[in-house]
Amino acid sequence: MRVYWAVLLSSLLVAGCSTKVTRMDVNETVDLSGEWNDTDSRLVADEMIRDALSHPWTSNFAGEKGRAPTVIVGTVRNLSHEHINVNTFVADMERALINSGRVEFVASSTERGEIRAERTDQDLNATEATRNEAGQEIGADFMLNGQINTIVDAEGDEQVRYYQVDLTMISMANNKKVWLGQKKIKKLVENAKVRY
Amino acid sequence: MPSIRKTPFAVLLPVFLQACALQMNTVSTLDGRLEQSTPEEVLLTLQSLDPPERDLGQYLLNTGLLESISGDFEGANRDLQSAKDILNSLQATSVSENLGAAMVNETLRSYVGSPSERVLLHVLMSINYLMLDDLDAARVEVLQADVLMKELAREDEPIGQLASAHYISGLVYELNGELDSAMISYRKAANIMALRNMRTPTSLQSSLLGLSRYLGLDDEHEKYREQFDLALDPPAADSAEIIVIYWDGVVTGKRGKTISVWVPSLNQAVSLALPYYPPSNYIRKSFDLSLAGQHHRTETVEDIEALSRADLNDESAAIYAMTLARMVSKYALVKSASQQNNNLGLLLNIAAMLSETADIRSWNLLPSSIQVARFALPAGEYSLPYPHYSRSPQGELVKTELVVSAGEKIVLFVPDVSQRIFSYTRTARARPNSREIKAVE
Repeated sequence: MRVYWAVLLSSLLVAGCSTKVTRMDVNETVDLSGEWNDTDSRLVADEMIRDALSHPWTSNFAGEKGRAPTVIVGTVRNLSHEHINVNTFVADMERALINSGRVEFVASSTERGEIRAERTDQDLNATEATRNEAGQEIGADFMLNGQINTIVDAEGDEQVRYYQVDLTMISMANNKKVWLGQKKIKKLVENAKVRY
Repeated sequence: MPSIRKTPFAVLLPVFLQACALQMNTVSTLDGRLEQSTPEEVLLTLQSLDPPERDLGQYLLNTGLLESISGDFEGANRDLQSAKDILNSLQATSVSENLGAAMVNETLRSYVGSPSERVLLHVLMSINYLMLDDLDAARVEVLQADVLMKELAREDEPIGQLASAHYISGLVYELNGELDSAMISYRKAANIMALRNMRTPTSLQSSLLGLSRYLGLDDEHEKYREQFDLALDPPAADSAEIIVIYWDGVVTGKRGKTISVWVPSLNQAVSLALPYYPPSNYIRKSFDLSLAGQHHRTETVEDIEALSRADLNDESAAIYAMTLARMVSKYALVKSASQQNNNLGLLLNIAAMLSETADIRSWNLLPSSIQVARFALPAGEYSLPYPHYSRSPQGELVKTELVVSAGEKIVLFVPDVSQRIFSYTRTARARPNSREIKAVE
């Protein structure tokens, strides 16, 4: 009988210590710490994509030039209270806009370096038929810039966190702002006063 | 009711706790070792320890700091971010840990860090991000430090309010071209120093004078002109501004004192253990630089020796209350056991005494003081008193001379114990929209 209890207790202890993994739908909202998370990133991407495609800047450009505008992603600065990876919603936006067929993107300044290095390498090592020449890059018509700002109001164990994401599409030809996207998110975070 | 069957547990508990106390004592002696050897050697010693989960926050603070002063800023911020997450998650009051502290000793609590340590964590992470050439991430840390200091603010005492944190905030805002925010932070730094009866460093004086004039705060500028005996010359066109952040010494670690006495009226031995700071042996020394025929010296913006003592002093009422509660609970336990069995009572009395240990955990590898200096330096190439490391265009840390170009702002991070200098350079063209103080005529 004593052995039985010992085995049962050990099993419970082992079960309590083991890592548990539950697969989730990527659209499911789980807020753990109250900080910026995948749901916030998705909400921003959804809003920005919807807004960018519902305004006439793409059709105006296409009407004038007879082709889809080319966009380069500039700097999206994180001026918030948290270390936020802005690449997630920028990548979502890029994908949705390219797939819509109304906008084309060119490599950003950080991506370009690697591509140019590869092209230089091709110049030396690739066959004539497969070699890509330098000087054939497409210049962007617009640059996407932006920033994330926050206001945090804290009192005791409570915090109100307000996030504002602003994205701007600026014409490379004349610095004209052709689209301004904005998403605001507000959260009340109540930290536990007591833990076990 | 305690029974003889529970005796092995009661005897083994202090043995187990003594093993934990031994590890705590090893960590508490590392501050002395850091002054005698390299940060890399101390880091190896620290990494050879296997800290209990409740001490993980303290462990990561120390490894993060050692990595930082060794120049491993990525590794440092990984550890410090983990420490930050742990400390933040432990701010709620724990029922079980309080019970453990009331029955056995204070070291059964998870390490949550003192208010000053929690703010200094952001200060160090901010410096690390600057050295990684990530100004936006450094800005995130100064914003978090600001929120934390607001949360910790009290009307009676400036606990958790750090002049160095506000000074670094001001610097980060200034590097970012946010001069109005920089002014607010420098002002807060000066106010805290005044509250602590500390002299405002010349670098802070010149920032307050320069920014108040640039922002058109005429009354405030006049007040500073009267308060500070300092001539404010705009830097020459071919010069850069050098800002030095110097970490001097290693802060004195906490020690524990245990008093054990036989109390005849209780028929028991009673033990009390309390943490304290021994008198500081720290002798303040500044970092002196002689460059381009000019002599520059750092001045104290934060006295961490004083901060640590103020934090412990602030906590002392709660520590004394818990010590008293523990004494009463241990007395009751031993008395109850003695009534049942004299030998059991004696064993429990010994166990109660042995388990009484002071909580001497702290971020004990911090510097004794944080000092700053700020001066203009003509463009050129300079040798520094310690090896200088800066980021190459590929992002690697390389040993080099200090190369100064006109219009730059260069932040030098100088941890005295590692005898190395790390730098961050903000070129004049890095932020085209930023407004320069030197533009003021």
